[in-house]
Parts: sequence; structure tokens; C-alpha cells
Amino acid sequence: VSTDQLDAALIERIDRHFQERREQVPLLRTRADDEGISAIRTAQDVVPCLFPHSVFKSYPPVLVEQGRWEQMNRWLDSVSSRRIDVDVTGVTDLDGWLDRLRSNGHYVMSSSGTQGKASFMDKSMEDITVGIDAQIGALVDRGVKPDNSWIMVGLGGSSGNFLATLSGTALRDRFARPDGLPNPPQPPQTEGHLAFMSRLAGLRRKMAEGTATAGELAQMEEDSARREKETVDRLNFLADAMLARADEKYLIGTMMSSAWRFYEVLRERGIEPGRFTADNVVFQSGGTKGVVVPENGRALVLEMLNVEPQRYVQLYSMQEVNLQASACDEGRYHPQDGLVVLVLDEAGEQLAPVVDGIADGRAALIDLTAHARWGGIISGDHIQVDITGCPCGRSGPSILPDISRFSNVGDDKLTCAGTMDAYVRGFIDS
Amino acid sequence: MTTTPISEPQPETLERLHVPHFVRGEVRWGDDREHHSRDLGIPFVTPAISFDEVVIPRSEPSPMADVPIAEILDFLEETRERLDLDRNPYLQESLPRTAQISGIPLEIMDRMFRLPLGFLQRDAMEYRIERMLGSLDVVDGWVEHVDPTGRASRVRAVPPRLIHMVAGNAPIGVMQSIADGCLVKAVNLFKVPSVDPFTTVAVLRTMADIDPGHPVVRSLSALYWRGGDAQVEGVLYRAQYFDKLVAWGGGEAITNAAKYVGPGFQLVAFDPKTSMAVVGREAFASDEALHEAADLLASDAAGMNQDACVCPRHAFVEGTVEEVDRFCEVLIDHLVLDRRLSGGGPRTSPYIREAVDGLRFLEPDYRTWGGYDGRGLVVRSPEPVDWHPQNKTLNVVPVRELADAARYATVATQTVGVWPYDRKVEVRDRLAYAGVQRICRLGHAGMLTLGIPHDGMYPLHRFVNWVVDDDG
Repeated sequence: VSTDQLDAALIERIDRHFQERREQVPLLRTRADDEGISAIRTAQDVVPCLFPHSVFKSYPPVLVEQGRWEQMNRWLDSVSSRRIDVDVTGVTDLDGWLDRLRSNGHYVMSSSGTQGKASFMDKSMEDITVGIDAQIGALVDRGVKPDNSWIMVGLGGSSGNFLATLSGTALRDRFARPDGLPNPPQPPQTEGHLAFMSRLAGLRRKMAEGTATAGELAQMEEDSARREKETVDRLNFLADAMLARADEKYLIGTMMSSAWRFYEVLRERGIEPGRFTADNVVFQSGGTKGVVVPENGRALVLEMLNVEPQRYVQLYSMQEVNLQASACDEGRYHPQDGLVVLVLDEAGEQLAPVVDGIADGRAALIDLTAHARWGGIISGDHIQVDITGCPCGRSGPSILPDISRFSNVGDDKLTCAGTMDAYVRGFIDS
Repeated sequence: MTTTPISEPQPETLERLHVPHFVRGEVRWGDDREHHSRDLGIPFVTPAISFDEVVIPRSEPSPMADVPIAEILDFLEETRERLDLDRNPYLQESLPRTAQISGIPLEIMDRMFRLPLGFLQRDAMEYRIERMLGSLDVVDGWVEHVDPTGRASRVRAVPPRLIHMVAGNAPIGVMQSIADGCLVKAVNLFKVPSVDPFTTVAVLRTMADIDPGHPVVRSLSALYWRGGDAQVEGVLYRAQYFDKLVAWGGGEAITNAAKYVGPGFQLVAFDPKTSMAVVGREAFASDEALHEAADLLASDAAGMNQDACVCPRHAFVEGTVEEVDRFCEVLIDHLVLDRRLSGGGPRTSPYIREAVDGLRFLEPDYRTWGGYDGRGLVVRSPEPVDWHPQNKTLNVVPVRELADAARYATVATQTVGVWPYDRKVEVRDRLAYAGVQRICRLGHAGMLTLGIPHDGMYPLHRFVNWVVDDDG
């Protein structure tokens, strides 16, 4: 048993990155000082300096709800390597704050987690460029030629996210043929995706505080149902458009959850495998968030869309990092150079032991290309890493195919000391 | 097929903890099932459950049904005398194991089990029955009333058949659950929690030593199964076998159990609760007052290292930000003190640390005192924080008027400690209307007066089956 997950050369690169970011990211400085870490000499040294992913949503939600943007700047500054010195005069809402930051070179990534509270992390144009190149590289590595020969389809729909739009455009420039599918009709939007998620998070809080009105709740249920219908309409539109050109070559970008829903839409129309006949590619990152996918779901999706295993490009990544790990023919994920994968114990405090070449535990990532942030992250994912190489022939660590989430809920928990969350039912789950 | 040892296995020879079952007077050991405790994941084994032994068919009355309450009180008084930790081998054995599996420091467990068991004194038990059921007579027989039209009714508190889902966070609480089950002469099955599978059986073994064939003992069983195990709950949670599921606490275990609720099988839920405190501007009248209020608040928050429903998590203090900061400075000194039922607790939860680290960059709008070592942490914020304070963490919020605190009370708020005490009158109606169930003196949250409602109900009143013989 050993805990040696990294070689000396890599530890040296981590230390160089750490030294630089420690001077720039106030929270990293505080954390490293608290833990007495001034240099990374072993893999274990870096563990207490890694940020749980929740760090990017550690702001008090009232700051957003009450529009205290000056304080949001100060909070964002604490987790960023570049100072957030941006005038927020005249900013009236969340989208306005993000716009203002963007026009000052802070491309702040926002996403809503399962609890509804949005995370915010700063990215620079350097981060964005590295991220886009990494995605293109992952496709090219799997033999997908950037020759503008593909009909590109995004099943997930637009999140209105600036970075997703940028990377979508970059991929299209290199891979998409000019005569692609028509765009699905955009239903008139009274609010953006982010504003909707932010309203949902705010309502959930008000529910817990007992101040949400029944009318607000009913409105939210109605809006959620309408959005759900829009998603289904969109998938049906794409199904029509793709079936009309079923023998042409598709590059389909999706999360597993959207892919499964698309499969269901096709099945409901009685479509069988074999209708799509070209050598299609599925480009997938992200899990099954909020959708129940059966065990053989992936195989069913790939069969339906006529995607051979080698043309299934699957990424393991997270929004906190620029780089990713891409799956080989064995289904194992190989991190790109500059992305360090560590396996910790479930608590995220110690390196997991390496037993017979395998480390089993909580995934942590250090992105040495992270520019506007520290890039050291502890995830909620349960992974296994083989440090001895991969049957596909590549050396270096590989992440085994089965990746699951660590659950925070004990199976047997019973205590009289509760939280208000126990009193909030329903609507947030959808 | 595994064998069931007839004598107790010796702990030092075991790799896994052995958790015994108690079935109507008999202790059962075995390693037919393997489990893991929640939180610490400690492995332990139990015997298989023999369902026919623990379910008393409805054709048979509760063994206690025809035993006079006076005799039951005699038995419980005798039990109380035998629960003296220095003389009780079962508690001496269960205590270190409970400490190991629950993570509660042994010294605190020790001090907890030396608390006087006042609720098992005869006058206390009689008082509780009278307050909650109306009289002792109504437990033993039929009590007659005549309505304004001259017609008579005779009512009895008939013994129910109860499954108790015992909470795991306060081992002493099971003693109260056992006593309550006996006071209403119920058939009692205790589903013990994985964080404390020992205490209930230790108390029941103590009772069996008095007289293993006594009707009280023959009405008591305690089993462990994994909460949510459909193979067990699907069999037992039925109106044909039990009347009520008495659940202390919440979470997955209750959500899951609630799906078995239906006609004839009710849930008596003592929901998971949070508590808070309100401190009046009188705290700033003198240094003495400041320390008094801070110490009382710290003492309530620190009990069981804040792992109990009565422990305040948010405190609303009537004063300016500057005044409240002075209060917080004093509060942290009192919070870090080791007390009878506090100290040696776990480090601050990572989610609190992440949130508080973020707030540290938002001074002066937010301020923090203390550290992450689990000894005490105070966070002052303009409104309540959006995370759940625990492991001796207090969130202090300045309010202009004491009554403004009611705005932050909800149905989830159980106890509100008030200082100074005479201002309870001023805030209690508003707090009650907002959903609060108990208003008490600050510093006294853990000391419950006898015979009072709990979570909006009189527990014994909810347990029994009220049956009437009336003239119609």
C-alpha cells in the first residue's frame, strides 16, 4: 500500500502553479496559511489547499437577491487570481452584473447545481481558449476530422451561457458543414435560463423561510411545466429534421441525460435502430442530472444513433477546470497534459491508498492551465484511478469507466435536530 | 447457516461489534446480519429477526393491559434505581460501545448517564399522566362524564401497539421513550438506530433482571434493522400488527417509513427541528449582563455539542452592529468552554468552513469569531446565513426590536430561548403564531419542565387509543 499517486516532476509543476496562484488568490493564501503549507513537496501537501467545488457558491444568497453587487465583487475576488475591480453602478440584476464583469474581461461562468444555488467562477480569455482547444483536441484525438463535413446538433439546447456559446461557435467553425439543420424555433423568453434558475433558487429559500406565497409557487410550477414542454418540442423538432436527412453524417453534442430523452422521443415515434445510417459521432460530457437512465441506456442511445464505440467521444471534466479527460476504446478516461487527477478519501482530507495499482475514492483535480482561478478542486465524484497504465496501451494514470456520486445522505439517519430543508417539498427536484 | 451463540461473545475476541436484540424479556445474540453504522461506518452484526416473536397478535391484549398503573409505576421506580451507572453492568458495557459507534465523547456519555432520571420518579410519572391524559384512572379503566343533555360517556385510554423509531443523537432519550411506552401500557417495539444500537437493549436488560416474566418486560422488544429495509418494514409496518409509528426525528428514515402510513397505521412524528434564541438590549446595560446573556446562550448552543433539536443555531440580538459585535466577542469566550454535556466534539463541518471562509472577505458586513476546531465559531450577519450551523456554531443577527426575530421563526422552529426572561411575555404570541412550539428561558433549553407539550402535542395523549362506551 502506498499513497504515491504523482511523480516528482509533476509535483514540481504543481508547486510552481501553487506558488504563483497563492500570491494571487486570497482564499488560497488564507487556506494555505491556515494549514501551514508554503510549498508543495508531496502530493499530500496540496490536498488541504484544494477547494471543494462548493467554494464557488459560498456567497450569501441575499447578496444576489438584494442586488448587493459591490459585495458580490468582493466575494468573487476572494476566489479569483485577478482583482475584481469593476464599477457596478447602474447594475440592476444578475445578468447585468455578469455583463458588466464580461465587458471588463472577467468571463464569469455561472451554473446552477442540484440545490439550485448558482456558482460563479471567473475565467479569462486564456482559460476560454485553452478550454476550447482542449475540446477540439479531444475530438481530433478520436479521429473526428475538423474538415467542416459534419452536421452538428446540440441536444441540450442553449443555456444562454456565454462560454458555451463561444465554444459552440468555435467547434462549428472547424467541424460543421455550412448546410446544417435549421435552428429550432425559439419560444419567446420572458427570462433567460440563468434568471429562471436564480428565481428558482430564491423561491426555494423563501419556501424554507416560510415567506414564499402560494401564488409564486403556482407560477413557478407553471413555468417549469412550460419549460419542460419546450424541451420536448425542441427534441421533436430535431428528430424531424434529422430523420429527414437520416443518411447524412452527424456530430451530436450532448449530456447523457439529454441523449436519453432524445432516445425516448425517437422511440415514442416508433423509430428503430438502423434509421440513421452514416458514421455518426456522439460528443458527450456531463452525467445524467435529474434523469433516470437505465443501465444499458448508453448502449441503446449509441445503437439508435448508429455510433460505433470508437466514434463515441466521451469526456470527464467539470466546469471548474479548463482541461478534461477523454475516454479511450477501453472506456477509461485519460487526463490531458496539465490536468492532474488525485484520488482522496471520502472526506476529501487524505490521499487514498494505492492498492494493486488502483486508488479508489473522491476525485480531485488540479488544472495547471487555470489562469483566473487556482484550479485545485475537490469534486463530489467517486472514481477509481489505475496508476499503472491502461490496456489501450497508454501509460500514466487512467480513470476507470464507472464514475458515481458520493451521496451525503446516510441511509439510516434519524436525529431530532433538523434543518428547514426537511420542510420543503417537491418543486426544486425537477 | 450461522449459529446463534447462547452466551454473550467476548468483545475483545471480536472484529465486529455484536449488537444484541431484546425480545419480550430475552436477549438474543447472533451474527446473521452484517451492518454499518451511519457517519462512522463501523461494522456490526445482529441476529436475524424472528417476526412471530415480536408481533403480538391482536387477539392477545397488551401484556400490561390489565396491570394496574400503580404496579407499573412500582416497576419503573425499581428500574430507575437500577440504572445507576456505577452499579449497572449493562450500561457500563454499552456506554463505551455507544461512544465508539456514535462518536459522542465518552466523558460526555458518562456525564449524561449520571444525570438524575427525574422523569422516572413516581410523582413525576403521575404528574405527567395527569397532565397529558387527564387522570391515572383513565389508564386503568373507564372514566365517566355526563354531557349537558344528561347522557353519559365512559372513556378509557386503551393501550396501543407502538413501534418507536428512536433518535440516535441523544442516547438518554431512549429511557424516556421506554418509560412513555410503559406509562400507556403499550405493546412496544423499539427500532434502534445504527449510531446507538446498544442503550435501549441495556435498559431493557436491566428491566428483565428485575423480573423477566413481568408483564412490563413481556411487552418490550428492541431490534436493529437498517432503516428503510423493505423486507423488515414491509412486514411490520401494518395496521394488523401495530397502531402507530412513533418517530423521533427526520430525514430519509422517516420519509421512507411514512409511505407505510395508511388506514389504521398512523405516524406520530416528532419532526426534525431547529431552535433559536433572542437576546434583549438589556444585555448591554452592564458587563455583568453581557456575560450572563452570552453564557446562557453558549450553554444552550453547546449542549450535546449542538446535536439536539433544542440547541439554538441562530441568535437575534437587539442592538446596533457595534453592540452586537461586543456581544459576539464575549460569546465566543463562553462558547469554547467545556461543559457538562459539551466538549471534545467533531471539527467544524467542511460546508460551514467553506461558507465562513467566503464571509471573511465580506467584513465589515459579516464578521466571524473562533475557528474550525469544533470548539466554537460565531458568525455575525445582517440576516440569517443560508447554511445550517452545527458543531458549536452560532449565527448572530442584530435586530432593532426583539419581536422582529419572529420574522425568522417557522414551523421548523421548536424552541426559542429568551433573555431577559421577563420579556418572554412580549414575544411569545408572535413566535407561537409563526409556528414556534416552545418559548423558554435562555440557558434552560435542555431542561424540560415535566408534563409539557412537545412539538405541539401531548405525546402520551397521541400514543393511546381513546375508546368510549357511551349512551348514544
